[in-house]
Amino acid sequence: MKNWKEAKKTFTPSAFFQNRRAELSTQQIVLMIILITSFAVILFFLFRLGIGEKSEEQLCHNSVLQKASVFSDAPLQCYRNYVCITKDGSCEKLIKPEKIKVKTLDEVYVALANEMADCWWMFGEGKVEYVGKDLTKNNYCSICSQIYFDDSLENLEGIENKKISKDELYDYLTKNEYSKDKTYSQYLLGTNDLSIFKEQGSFGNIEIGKQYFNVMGITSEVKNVWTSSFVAGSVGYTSVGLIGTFFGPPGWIVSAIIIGGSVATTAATLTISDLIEPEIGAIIVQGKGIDNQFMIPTLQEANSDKFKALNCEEILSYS
Amino acid sequence: MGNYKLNNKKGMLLAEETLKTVIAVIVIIFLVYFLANLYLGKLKDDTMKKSEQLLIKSDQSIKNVIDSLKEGESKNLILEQISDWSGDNWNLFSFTGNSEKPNSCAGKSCLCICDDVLGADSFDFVKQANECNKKGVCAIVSNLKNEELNIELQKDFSTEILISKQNNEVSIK
Repeated sequence: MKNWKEAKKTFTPSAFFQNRRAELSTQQIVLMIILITSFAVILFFLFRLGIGEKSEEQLCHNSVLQKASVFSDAPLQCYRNYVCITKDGSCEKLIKPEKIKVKTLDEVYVALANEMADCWWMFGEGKVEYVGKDLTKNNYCSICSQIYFDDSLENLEGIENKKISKDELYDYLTKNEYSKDKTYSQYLLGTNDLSIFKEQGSFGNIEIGKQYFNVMGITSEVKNVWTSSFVAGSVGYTSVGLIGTFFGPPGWIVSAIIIGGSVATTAATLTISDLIEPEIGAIIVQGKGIDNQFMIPTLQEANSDKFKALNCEEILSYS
Repeated sequence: MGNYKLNNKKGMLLAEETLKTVIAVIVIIFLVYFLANLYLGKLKDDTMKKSEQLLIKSDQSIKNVIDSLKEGESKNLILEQISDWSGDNWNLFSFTGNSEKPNSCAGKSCLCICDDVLGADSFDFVKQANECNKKGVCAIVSNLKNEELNIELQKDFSTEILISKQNNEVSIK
């Protein structure tokens, strides 16, 4: 009480403001320094953690959802991600790519499985119709990422003749978990049973030193072209065919796109046995709760005949 | 003692004012940077769209003309001028063989429209590929003839090019 009285005696408004001003200014400086330092630290972590890349994926995902939820003419905000899978950290063929350093073949499969799953998530996991009732075009593709397999990978154990087996990649998808209760295969295809494809042939190989598109697609609601037509080129040119509309398929699988060199000349008579080294180019699944069908993310050499054989009429993502 | 107090007080005021000024300057710089980016982003978008039309999307785009050419055929094409926000003209480049290429070329031969980093006199594939990768439009032309192409899309002039296909190789002059 005494102290308070003494304090009251010594208090004058001018002294108060003088003190307050001096204190405020020191406080401000300290606050500013703390704020600027915190901002710099946050920025540092943002860049270090690569959250920018995640936000690009989020931006794409949001634009896909927006396109489906309201009648919107706004274009999708999806950009191709450039990825380099390397053993020694070198990557000569791409400019400033996202580098994924691997030590084993399994780590290559992990990287590819994650790229495929991310792509599927970005474009709505087969639950979102994001192309509208377009009558002019039917197969819309999106190139989620362009992946370069660096030359240094050829020294990895398990890689022979500079080739990575896509069959083993699909095996990896069936055996490894994407989330707690789902394997990658269950997430993408709704099943772990890929035996139906093994009977038909191989998924082919990835050649080291080349660039591959991680591409997925959607059909327009009006026509499900991937299941209703053959596209055949001239003799010797890569062609596309479809095996099975699988009746009572496991999961949501509808069919698979078969690609290979063609010795037949007409689409109507083309059969799998007419194709030279036929391979499964992609798997088609039925959309969940919508009429559209989807081509699940698949890896095909960039701009190759096999990629063209997927019959993408328009690429929705930006390069 | 009185003098000391007065001097001290002035000093504190000065610190406060300086701090305010510094904050104001930082905010103004940030605002100008933000607005300039917004404006330049829009201009860049326009330039990219024009380049995309010219190279890929329009009916008479370079890519579509190349795709429609038959063996032994040639065709003239008039290209409109493309310039960026600073008024710099963009050029039509080719990247072939084992040279450095922009990412969207996917390691294949390609044509790109982008700003010329070095001027017409010298050509550095690495720098030019970097520039086209950062800010430009590219189209893959797998059977493009292995020759250096650097055509300025001139201001106030229409640039005429001749596209021909011989022995399944596409040549542009």
